[in-house]
Amino acid sequence: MKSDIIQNSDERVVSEKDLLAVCHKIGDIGSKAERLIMGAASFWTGELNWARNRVALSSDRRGFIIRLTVVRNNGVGFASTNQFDDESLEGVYNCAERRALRQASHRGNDIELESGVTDTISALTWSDETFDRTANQKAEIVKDLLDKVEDRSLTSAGYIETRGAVSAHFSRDLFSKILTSSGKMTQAECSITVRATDGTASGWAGQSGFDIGKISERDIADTAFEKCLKSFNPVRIEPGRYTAILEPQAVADLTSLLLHDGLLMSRSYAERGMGPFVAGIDHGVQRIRSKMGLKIMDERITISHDPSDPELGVIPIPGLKPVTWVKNGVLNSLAFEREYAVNELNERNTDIHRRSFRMSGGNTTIEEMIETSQRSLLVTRLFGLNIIDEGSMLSTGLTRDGLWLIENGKISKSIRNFRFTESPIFVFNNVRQLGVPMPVFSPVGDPGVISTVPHYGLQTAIVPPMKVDDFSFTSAVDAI
Amino acid sequence: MISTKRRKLLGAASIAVTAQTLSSKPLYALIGARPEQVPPIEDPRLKQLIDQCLNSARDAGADYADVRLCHDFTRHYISGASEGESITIGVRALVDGYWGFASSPVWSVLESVRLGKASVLQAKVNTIGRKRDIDFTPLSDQPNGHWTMPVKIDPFEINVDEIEDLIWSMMYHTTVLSRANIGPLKGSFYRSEKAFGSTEGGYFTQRTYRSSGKVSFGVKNGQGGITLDCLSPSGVGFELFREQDLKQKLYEAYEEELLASALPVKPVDVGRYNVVFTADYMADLIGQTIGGATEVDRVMGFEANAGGTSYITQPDQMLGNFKVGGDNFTVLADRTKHGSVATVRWDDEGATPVDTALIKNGLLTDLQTNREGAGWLKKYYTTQHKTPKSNGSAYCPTASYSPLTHTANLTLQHSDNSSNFNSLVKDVEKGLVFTRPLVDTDFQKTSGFGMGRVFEIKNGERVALVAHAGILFRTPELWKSIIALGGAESVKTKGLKTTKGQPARDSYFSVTAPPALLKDITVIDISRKA
Repeated sequence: MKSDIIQNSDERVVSEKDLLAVCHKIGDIGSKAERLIMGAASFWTGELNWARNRVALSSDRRGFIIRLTVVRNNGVGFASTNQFDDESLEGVYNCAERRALRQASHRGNDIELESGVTDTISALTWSDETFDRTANQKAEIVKDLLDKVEDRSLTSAGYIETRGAVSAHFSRDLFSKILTSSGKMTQAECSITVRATDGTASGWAGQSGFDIGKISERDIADTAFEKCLKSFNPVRIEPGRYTAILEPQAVADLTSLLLHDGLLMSRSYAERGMGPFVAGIDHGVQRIRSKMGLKIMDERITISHDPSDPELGVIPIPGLKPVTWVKNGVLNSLAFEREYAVNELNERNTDIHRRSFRMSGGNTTIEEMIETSQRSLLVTRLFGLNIIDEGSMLSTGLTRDGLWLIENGKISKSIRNFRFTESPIFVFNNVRQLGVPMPVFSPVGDPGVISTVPHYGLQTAIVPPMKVDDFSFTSAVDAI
Repeated sequence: MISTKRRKLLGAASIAVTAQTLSSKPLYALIGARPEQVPPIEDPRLKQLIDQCLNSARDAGADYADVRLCHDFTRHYISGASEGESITIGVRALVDGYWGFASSPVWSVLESVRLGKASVLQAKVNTIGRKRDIDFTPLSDQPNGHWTMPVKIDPFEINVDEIEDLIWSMMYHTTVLSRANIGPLKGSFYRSEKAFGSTEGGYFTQRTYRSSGKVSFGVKNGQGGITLDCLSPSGVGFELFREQDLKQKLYEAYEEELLASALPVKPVDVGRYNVVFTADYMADLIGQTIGGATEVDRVMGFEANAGGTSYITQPDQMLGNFKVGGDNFTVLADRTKHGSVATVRWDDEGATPVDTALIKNGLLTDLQTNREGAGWLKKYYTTQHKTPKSNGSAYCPTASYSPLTHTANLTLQHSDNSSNFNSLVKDVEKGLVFTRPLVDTDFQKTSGFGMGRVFEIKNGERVALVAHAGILFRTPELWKSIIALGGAESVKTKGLKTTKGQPARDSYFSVTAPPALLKDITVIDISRKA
């Protein structure tokens, strides 16, 4: 490792080359290991947080991490460190090895490793504008927003975060074959809530992505502002089944029930008879079949992830390839790890689970969906989702920060929030209209996880608005 | 011997880091002239490091600053086995009413100076906005000294074999039980060492612990797996495992599971029922409906863009006037109870925690506060002839994060009689029992729903399992429905985890509660759509 990466105190992240050097150093130290996998990352986050029309906190946080997996004598050991001097690298390896040897008699060599795929996919997930967005620039934007909100006697809370990370991945398999890759990424998120000072109205908007240049904080603020103004004097209407116009955020929230859970999206889980994608027993081979190949949603819906899609913001890592989970409404693929690939498919490639996704759409605008509605509800977003039954994916949750009744092609009134009891699979089978997919908001999680396992940590979604029939709203709630 | 590269890293202090370290070699810091192993938190030289940071912030223009150094250790056994160790430093500065924060894991003089300046810079950029008034309430006493949470067995000071053997023995006991299916088996231990200093002159160090475990197993043809509820996060050491008769509890849970799975299963008949909630369930209900709702920052709208707000919408008017529950409903907050997971000697602003009655005989009487938050309640405290001051609810999981108000340990006051879960059930002619909680509330904590394993009660006996039963509730109505609470012998303490803030951060708190019988609870079919 070159020492110059630490010479300049203005540097917020280290280079890919230096991170790879750290990985190779651990590889040298761990020459006895049967297998070795590691991810290293250096990251920075700048955050601005406000509430009650004043900035509550502005912060600058930086980080570095190495996550290490060692296999020795069929045992697996995990370790991580934030130090990259020689002693600490040796220390972290020794610790993981010690853990591996301790686990040897219990775990067996069942670790899921990288696939062995040698090609990596290039992705443009870095935005200088995001990385260079200063605290002063954020403060200027927020000041304008807060002045506007306060002048209208409303109150606002919100959050802007920008982040830059550089990461490197290293794996060495049983045959001493070494695979490395590296990349860098930025992430940005902005979400804003505008409320009546007495808490009787609330509007929200948000967006995230790798390029803050494509996220207009001012537009987000305007949307939240307008939603709040339209939310005053909400009335209570009876729960029941309504045609619902789900804004993209609500669609993403609903889809997350399926896409964010690695188990539900797992082929082996389905073939053990669990989760929503169990088709039944194939009596010919006496085993449980998944629903792969069967139609599970409206044929206009395709859900996919391409790691080279910059909008989904994934650093290229070995083994991550494009996948289409649902193709024209048919369950096309479910995730599987190396163990499944080797044992069940006799291949090395995997389709590892990831949370980012893109959903296909149509051309109908939300305005057109409203204009073509006799009586329906317009939903901004969903909150507090819980799965009640995995098999049917029946779930419950709440509407939040903007719910309106549409009558005769127009928004007629703001209404009180609802608790719903519904299944995303049912919803996606009752689609009437689809709009143009667009990026929505998803909170950027722990920087260490995002940077070293981005396919797991990132939850970026690009989804369309959707008009669906028979959405089940089961009870009214007073919360605003 | 420390390598040259290592020295450069520590000396330059340029790579600010947040991470966990697992190392068979100790971490290093540059406190004096050369790198050295990170010393015990009580080492007086750490105060010098903090002072360097405070001086830097003060020189840069801070009206107030505080610094935290954290040295954290984690060990997970069996499922997800790993070890971790990290050092972090974070400084928070106040300039003209605005807060700035900067953090890094590098403990060195140069890095301390950089962070002090950076935190002030972060605060200053926001002074372009309108004036921000802050009433940063004073501390009763400046913190001073060292405190170690009293645990019997430090899990980081004993042989790891001893811990693993005990946890593995649970698997043995489970597998020898006929028809049992083993589930996740886990032991987790956490030790946090913190040093705190502020420009007001206070300085303290403290060492706290959190231990938890999971032993899950199922019964073939039963209604799912069960998890021992006696291993939830607690403010103790390895005695959480060693001093409980886990084998006995395992067998009892297994027998209970067999009895339950032998009962007939019937569909839920929706309506209003008298319901007995286990102590475990009551702890979750209290945590969900009272914990977050009485955090002062949530009440004041600081979480409006994140987890939400509170049904306490007008604290000045509602404190002292709003009935959250009936006369038998009293909830206390503390960070002093031995064995509870949020217990500390000082909070993360240096305040000495004060035991507080949040709800007394059903009446909302106080909130969980930090120093700034107590100032927001000045009007109410003045009417109560109280001096506004923090009751010690500030917390940050590591120095990488600035402190927020987090839920303290909560206690639902039990009854004075000798009622317990079985006697409460005996008193019900027709009703339901809710166990194994899964409780969630809305973003204002105003209403919620609960699921779990539900039994039908007839004439004081559990006669059937009820499928798909759930409850819907509004918080004040729920707590005005208590017919009876268990006595002192029936209470249980349960550790819960909660997440708040942007960026999100976790905290843990204990809830001590008795079982209870509540009347006219709305029971729904959770699987039924509109």
